[in-house]
Formats: sequence, structure tokens, C-alpha cells
Amino acid sequence: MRVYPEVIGVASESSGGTDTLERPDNLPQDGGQGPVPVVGTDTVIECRGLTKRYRVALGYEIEALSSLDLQVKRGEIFAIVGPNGSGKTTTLKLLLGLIFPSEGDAFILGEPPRSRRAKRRIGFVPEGPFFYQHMNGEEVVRFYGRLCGLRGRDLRARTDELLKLVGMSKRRDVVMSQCSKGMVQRIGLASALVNDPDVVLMDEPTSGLDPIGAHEIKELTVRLRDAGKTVLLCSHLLEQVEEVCDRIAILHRGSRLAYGPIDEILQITDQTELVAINVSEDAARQLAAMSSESHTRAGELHCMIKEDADPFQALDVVRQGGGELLRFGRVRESLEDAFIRAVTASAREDAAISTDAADTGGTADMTGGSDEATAEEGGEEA
Amino acid sequence: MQLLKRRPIRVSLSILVCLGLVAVLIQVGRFGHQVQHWRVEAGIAQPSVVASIKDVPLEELTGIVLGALFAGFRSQAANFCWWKSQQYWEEEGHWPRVLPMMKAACALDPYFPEFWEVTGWHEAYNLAAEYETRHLPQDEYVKMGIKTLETGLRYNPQAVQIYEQVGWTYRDKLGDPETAIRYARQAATVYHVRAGITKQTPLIQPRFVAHMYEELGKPEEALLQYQELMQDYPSDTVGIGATLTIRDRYLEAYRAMQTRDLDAAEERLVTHLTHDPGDKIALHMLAQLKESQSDTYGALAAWEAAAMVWKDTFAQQHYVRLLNEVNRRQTQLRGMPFFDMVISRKVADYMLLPRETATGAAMPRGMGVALYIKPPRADAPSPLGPRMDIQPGDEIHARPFELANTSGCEARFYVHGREVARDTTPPYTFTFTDDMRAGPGTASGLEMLVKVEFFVPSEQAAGYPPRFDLRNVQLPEKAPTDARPAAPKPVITSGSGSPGGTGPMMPGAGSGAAMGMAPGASAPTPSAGHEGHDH
Amino acid sequence: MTIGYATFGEAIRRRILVIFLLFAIVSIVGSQIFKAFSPGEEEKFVVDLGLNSIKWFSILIAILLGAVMIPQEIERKTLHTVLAKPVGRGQFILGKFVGTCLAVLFNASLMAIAFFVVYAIQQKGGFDVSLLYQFALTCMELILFISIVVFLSTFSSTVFVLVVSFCVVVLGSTATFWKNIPAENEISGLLFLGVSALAPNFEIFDLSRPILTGAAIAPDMITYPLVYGFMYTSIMLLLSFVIFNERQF
Repeated sequence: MRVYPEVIGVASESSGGTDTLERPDNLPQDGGQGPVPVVGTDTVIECRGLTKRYRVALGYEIEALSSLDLQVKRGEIFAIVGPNGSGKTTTLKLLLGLIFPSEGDAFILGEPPRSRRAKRRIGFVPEGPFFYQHMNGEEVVRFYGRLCGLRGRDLRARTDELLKLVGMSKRRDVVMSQCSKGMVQRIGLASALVNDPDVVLMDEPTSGLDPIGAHEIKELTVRLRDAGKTVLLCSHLLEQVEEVCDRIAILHRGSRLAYGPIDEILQITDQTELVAINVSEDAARQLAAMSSESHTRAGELHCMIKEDADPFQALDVVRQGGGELLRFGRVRESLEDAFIRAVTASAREDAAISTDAADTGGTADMTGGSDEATAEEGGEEA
Repeated sequence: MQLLKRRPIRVSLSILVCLGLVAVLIQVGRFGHQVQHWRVEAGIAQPSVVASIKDVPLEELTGIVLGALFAGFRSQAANFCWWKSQQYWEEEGHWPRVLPMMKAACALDPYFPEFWEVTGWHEAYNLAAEYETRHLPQDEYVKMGIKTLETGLRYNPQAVQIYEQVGWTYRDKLGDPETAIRYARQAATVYHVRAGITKQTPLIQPRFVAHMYEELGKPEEALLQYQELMQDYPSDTVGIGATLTIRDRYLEAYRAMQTRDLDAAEERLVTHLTHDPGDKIALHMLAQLKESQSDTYGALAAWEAAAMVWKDTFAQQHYVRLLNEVNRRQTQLRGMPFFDMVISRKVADYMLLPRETATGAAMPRGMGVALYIKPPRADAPSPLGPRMDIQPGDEIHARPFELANTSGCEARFYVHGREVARDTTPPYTFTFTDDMRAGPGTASGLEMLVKVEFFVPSEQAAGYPPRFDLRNVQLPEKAPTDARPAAPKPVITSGSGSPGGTGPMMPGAGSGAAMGMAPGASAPTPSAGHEGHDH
Repeated sequence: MTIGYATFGEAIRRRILVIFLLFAIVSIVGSQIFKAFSPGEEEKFVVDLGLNSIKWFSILIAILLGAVMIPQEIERKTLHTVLAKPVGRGQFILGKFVGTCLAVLFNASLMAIAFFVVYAIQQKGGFDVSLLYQFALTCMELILFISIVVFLSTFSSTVFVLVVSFCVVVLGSTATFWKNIPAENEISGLLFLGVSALAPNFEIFDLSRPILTGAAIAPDMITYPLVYGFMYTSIMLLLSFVIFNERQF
């Protein structure tokens, strides 16, 4: 087993930083093995050349993840984004030890993924979790609490606390088989947090939630980070990821397309967008010259004003050309745009463009926050 | 492959562990088979179904049964067959369907004694009664049943009740008390080996054996049996009663017989029979005594009496044996047979047919004469005129033919055991027609059993000594010489012209005490009293 | 143990099992209709039907629980959330096994009680200790069977487990048959050999014959099958551990 010097030996710090997420005193420690190495500002999750190939049939293999390098630092919200089938969930499974890498290594809290020591400090929220249908929400949380070694009054207290946290206190008696997707997701989150983990892995945490629910989850994620926890989340709902995460990795077809702080990735995309109708041909030509990109769609002229060009000059052009301005404003490139750009760049290299990218394109069009639910449905895994 | 590349040691270790576990598993499997073997040896499990199912006609097994069988529902398959057989039996009584189902049940669950027991019983009793001469002689069915029971014993050597059933069948249907005793003793042995079992009552066997000894005319052995029985069951009333009766009635005669003091023995028996003419044991003993005196006719009469009163197969067997012996002797003597055939038990059944009791005790019974008549061939010209002088066993080529009763007594005519004319007043001529030929017993119609029974009116009966002249049995043999000149008409005589020719019976003679299997008890039915058969 | 308890809870709360249980009890009680036969036959029918109802309905329940619940848990990814907790894979398998056993044996006990009552009525108050032995052996048989189902569940899907475990029941109930059947050619010979070597032997857990004949049951005839069942179950569980440990989800 490889040992990471920067991981081992970092002094344990108090992880209980918030009023809501107090680490229970009796949470079983790793019996007598000394202080658990709590990661400081250093790497909590590390993937090195992580590759996973699935055998399909007749010796054919598909590479679900190719040589992924990744480092998640302590206390950050890290997002892995990518279309369906890009290898996000595979990465999570590898990190949880549910599957074994074909090549490369993964370490979580300095331990190999299947180590139970690591798992005591991990919380995992799967995508669309499916719990024992006969249990109600409270029982589910208690069940996972018991799996983590919690018992008796502590378990009850912890359960109450978490149910309150995810807003399920009043609906704790609803049996899982009758829970809505959102309720299940909340219970899933509560179950994942029952052992007060240092690292929380989330797979599509907001899928199936209404906008308010999604917003709450986002808030909660941020609170977890503020409490000193590390959050790794996978999502194809880029809008939401964008708002909360610190760093991201964009995966497409198992390959890492982009990786770094979100600001860096979105940096190049500060442009001004202009949409107008009834623009004279001459004016349109002028605008096109000022734009990095322009096209006419349904009579509307869409222009992306170059950074070195003066956007107000472009406005004048529209006015002088007798056009009518529909929209004008600076657009910080959304993660979607970055994502699509990255994907299409990669797709250009790869002759066989997948339908996944087209699907995601559809999602990307619907960027408005109010359209989330629809977007989520459209982007649901095939 | 990728697994091996990635985690070669771990995976190959896992595979090794798996292989090792499978190896251990095979050993455990062997142990399982060994355990099954022990279980079979210990008699608490059945061996493979392969062995037992091969006897079953597979076409008789429905798909359900086969499916159930191979799904491990062997016992259920057997139950299903059994249930089906019971259904067929109750609804249709159609043996070709009932029997294979029963056999299938036996084969599928051969370790359940009741299946064998009931199947054997059905064969020996119901099948024998319903099918008799239609396919096979009755005895063949009985033997078939016994064979079934004995097969059952091969599988269930501890099944006390099957031993009992075989014993009983030998005794009841084949008149073989000695074999019955053998089986009853085996049953007792098995029972004692399996001491501690409470599901059978052990009382039956010693009683049964004792009865068999009584039937065999061996009261001393019976007494020993009862003594054994009473050691275990001191308060058994049957044992007590029987012991008293045997001591009182038979023991002395028996001992006298053992010491060859035959006259003394006979005297004792006859004295006893005077009081109780229907006493089976006494009749049996008397018959044996007569036989040892070479008094065939005396023995014949005693056996007949016993057989008639008790429907006693044992007596019947001896009756048949003696009849055949008489027949053989007469054939030698006269150059012509008394009966034109070997008397079988089937025929004897007709000869010993229960007497009509409709008229009650007022009508004393007569002795019947059975004629076994071969019917005419259809194309044969009739050499006989409308009236014939026939002998028992004659072939009659006239259709129809007649029999005249000139005996001076009333007579009844039976064909195939069915009464066709009753209370005829002599002289009487009875006409037999073709449609009478097919009787219940002779579906083929190839032969015909005619029985004429003569009656002595009750007012006349008073005049007859209440005795049964055994020599009358010879009458048919003498009859041709005596009767033919006296009666020119064709006559079937049984002592016609001689009042003693018919066997007059005591009306309600010796209404006995207890009935049933208790020894020494006499029948309340009119019994063939016989005593003073001295010449 | 938490998993075992959850499994048990799930099993108990499944309505279909309750229906099965009721059905089984009805059929046990229904065996009273065989009144028409002679006492010996009646006892046989009641005993055969009763014991077999207990066994077969329990096996059905075991198949449903084992073959449906574990693969379902894998397919629906409940397992992911469980394994994300500090729970060993072996623990998971053991918990599932124990929970299924608890549920099946609980149901079997209910059926057995119903059967004992029916038997006591039919025997007019009689009770045979062999019936308890039989029940103990049936429990062992069920445990063995559940271990096989769990083993199958560790590497295959619901349908496969359903089919194979049913085959296992059939083969196991006719184990001696496969051992003794004459092979027509080498392939079938090999097949029969394999079956008789690997398939469990359910026949040795059957005491209905001594129960019906009243023959004495030597203690060996109880302990040997128990030892056999224990060994077979252990091996099956170990195999399950090894395979499940290497399994990817």
C-alpha cells in the first residue's frame, strides 16, 4: 500500500466547526490505533492513472475511465461533471471500493478505497438512492446509524438532528415506498451524514429535487464545506454545480477534459452578448466583424462581441441599422458553455460523435434556474 | 484477465480458496450420500426411486405424478396415485383403472405398509370376488393379493399388519391355517423386536394363532397360545373363555386322539355335537378323526357341515379334497366319474351355497346335488329325446333339457347359484333353457352348474331322526342303479326313493352361545348337526 | 447483525409472504379432508402434506427472500449505500443470510405450530417427538438451502437465482436418484456425477418414514444430517464470502 507522506502525519484538527454538525463524542474511533490522520489542506482524495475497463462481450472492452488523475483537497467542494456515461459514477464507485480499478490507484483519506477505516469517515449519497422499502425515513437513518456503530440515545439524537437538517422531521414516519424522489434524496443525505463523515461523496445530489429542494441541498453542501468537510460531487446539472463548487473536473467518455478551479475554467468566457432583430445587412456585417461569433436564427441576430471591441459601439451599430435590440449584456460563460466547448472540441477529434453530447446540448439550452426540473427530466439517464 | 493483471495474487488466491472449498464440498457431498446409505440401512429412508419405479407401468402415471416425482414430491406422487385409485374405486369400481393406480402408489412409496396392505386386500377379496372366473380362478386373485402383500413385506419387513394380513388371507381365502400361523408368528416376532411401538395392538396375534390352532383341530396348541396370551393380558376375556371352553369340550377328545383312542375321542365329540351341532372345532376334529379312521364319507359330511355353517375355507378345502378323492375312487370303482370334472373350490362354493332362509327355520334344509353339465354344442345333433336320463356330469345335447324331481320331496333348482325354481311339488319337471346358461360365475357359458336342493317339510321333519346319515353322500353314486328302474323318467336323484337320501337338518339346531371367533361357540344359524354317524 | 435484523424486518413486512404463510397453514389444516381413508392412511396424508407444506412453503419463501432480495439490493444500489458504510462485505453476506434464515425459520415455526395442532387433533391428542426431530432437520435443510441461495445471489441475477435454486431443490430432493441413475453415455455420466457430487442431499433430512411407521430413530440419524447441513452451509457461506469479496457492482 502506498502511503502518502502529506496525508499521514497531518495533525488531527477538530472537525466540528458548525452548530449543526457536531461530531458525536461516542462515534467509534479506530480502536486504539492512535489519532486518525485527518487531512489538512492536503489531498483527501487522490486518483492516479485511474482506469476502469468493463468487459462487454467476446473480449471487447469499453474503457469507462481512462487514466484519471485527480486530487481533492481538504475542505473544498469538488465537482466531477460530465454527460451521462462519462465515468463520473465509475469514479465514485472506484473511490468507494465497489469496483476495482483496472489500472492506477485511488486513495481516499490516505487509505485504499475498501478500507473500513476510511469508510468510517466517508458519507455517500448515491444517485436516486433506493432504500429498504418497508422502512420509514427515520428507520432508514437509524439503520445506517447502526451500521456505523451508533446505538441507543446517541443514535436517536443524531437521527433527530439529521432529519431536522434535511427537513424531514415532520415526515419521518413516511414509508420509503411512499416517499417522493425528493424525500428519498433527503433521507439519503441524512443517512450519508449519520456518521459525521469528513468526506461526503454525492452522486447527482439534486437530481429529482424541485428547485427549492435543490437550493437547500446546495446550501447544505456549502455548509458542509464550511464545517470543514470535503465534498466530492458528481453531476450533469452544471448550473447547480457551478454555483457551489470550488474546483471541477470535466469528464467526457472517461477522459478528463478540464480540471482546475472553476474560475480558471470559466475565465476565458467573459464576453458580451447581443441579440437584435430587423438589423440591416450592413449593420449585421459590422456586428459580425466585431463579434467573435455571430449567427442569425429565426430572424434574430446573435452576436458575441469580441473582448477588444467596444460593446457600446455595437449598440450604436444596431441603432443606426434600424434594428431593435432584444437583449444585451455581459455573459459570464456558464459551466455549460465551457462544458460543451470542451466536449465538442474533444468530439471533433473523435470522429464518432456521441449522442450523449447532443443530449447535453439540449440541457445546456435550458439554463434558466426555473427550468431546472425540466432540464433534469430531459437529462435523466437513458 | 484484467483482474489477474491488476490483482493477480489476490484473485488467484480467491480462486484457489474456491477450488479448495469445492473439494471440501465434494467430500461433504460424499458424506451426505453415506448418511443416506446409513439411513436406508437403518430403515428410516427409502433407497433410490430408480429401483422401485421400474415396476410401475409408466403409462399409468400421469404427467402430474411424474412431474411431482422428479421434483422430489415422491411421497406426494404416491399419495396422489392412492387418492386417485380410491376415487376410481368409489366412483366406478373399475379394476383396470383402480389397480394400476394402487400399484403405482405402492411402487412410489413402497415403505408405507398400508398401501401394500390395502392393495393386497383388494386383490385377494374384492377383485377375487368380482372377477373370479371371468379371467382367472378366484384363487389366482387371492394368490396375487398375497404376492402383493409379500412384496410389501420385502420393503417393510417390520410391518406387523402386513404379516397379519397375509396370515389372515391364507386362512380366510385359501383355507391354510398352518401358513397363517407361520405369518402370525412372524408378526409376533417382529412386534417383539419392535417393542416399544404403540401403534399396533399386539393382542391380535396370539388370539389369531390360537384360533388357527382351533381351526386346525389342535386344541392343545391353541390352549398353549391362550396361556401365553394371558400371561401378557391376564384379564383378556377371550382368552379366559376360550381356555375354559377348550378344556371343557375338546381337550379330552384331542388327547384321546393323540393316544389313538379314537372311539373315546369320537364319543366325546359326538356327545358335544349333540348339544351343539354347529360347533366348528368339534366338526373339524371329527372330520380329522374320521379321516384318520379312513371314513371318507364321514369326514366329507363333517367338513361339509363345517363349511356350510361357517363358510369356513379350511373346511371347504378339505371338502373339495375329499370330494375329488371320492370322485376318483368312484371313477375307478364304476368306470365312470361321479363328477365329470375335478371339483374346484368354485364349484364347491355353489355346492355349499347358503340355503334359502326366507321360509325361516320351519323349512329344514336338504342336501343338494350339484351337477356340472356341459352344454350342447350348437351344431351337434341331439341324441337325446325330450326326456333324458342323465348323470351328473353328463353332456346334454338337447336344448332345452329337463330335469324331473321324483324324490318325493320338494326341491329347488339352482343354476349357477341362482334360484330358478322353488318349492316345486313332486313330481316336477323343470326345463332348463339356454338363457339360463350364462350365470354370474360363468360368463363364457361353457359350462353350467345345476343344483337341486330337496326339502323335507317341517311336519315330516319331526318324523326324521335329527341325524344326518353320512352315507347319503354316496347316493348319487348308487342312484343310477336304484333309481333308474324305479323312475323311467330322467331323474336327478339325491336319495330319491329313500327318505334318508336327503339330509334333513335340525331346524335351528343348537342355537349356540356366543358367535364370532370364539372357539367352541356354535352358530345361531341352522347348523349342520351331525352325530351318531355310526353305520 | 443490523443487516440481519433489517432483512428479517423486510421479510416479515412483505405481504406476499404473509399470503404464503396463510396459504400454507390453510393447506396444512386442509389436510384434514383426508378423513375418508383408513386411520393409517389418514395419518400418512396429514403427515406427508403437513411436513411437505412446511418444507416447500418455507423453500418458496426462502427463494423469494434470498433470490429476490439480495440481487434486488444489488440492482437497485441499496447495497452501495450499505457498503459505503464501515460494513465488510462478509458482514453483509452474513447479515443477509442470518436475516433470511430468521425470517424463513420464523414462518416455518408458525407453520409447524399449525401442523402440530392439526396432527394432535387428528391423533386425538397424540404427539410424536419424532415430529420435533423432523422440524429440527427441516430447519437445518432450510438453512442449508438459504446458504445456497445466498451463494447464488452473490454472483447472479434474480432470474438466474430463481431458476437455479429451484433446480437445486429438485436435484437435492432426488440426490440419491442422480447418484444411482445409470448413465447412458459419458457426458450424461459426467453430468450425473457432478450433480451427485455437488448438489445438496435433501433426502437425508426426511424422517417421515420413521414417523409413520413409528420406528425408533437413532440419535445418529439426527446428528449426521445436522453435521452435514452445518458443513455444507459453512462451505456455501465461505464461497459466498470469497466470491462476493471479489465482486464488482
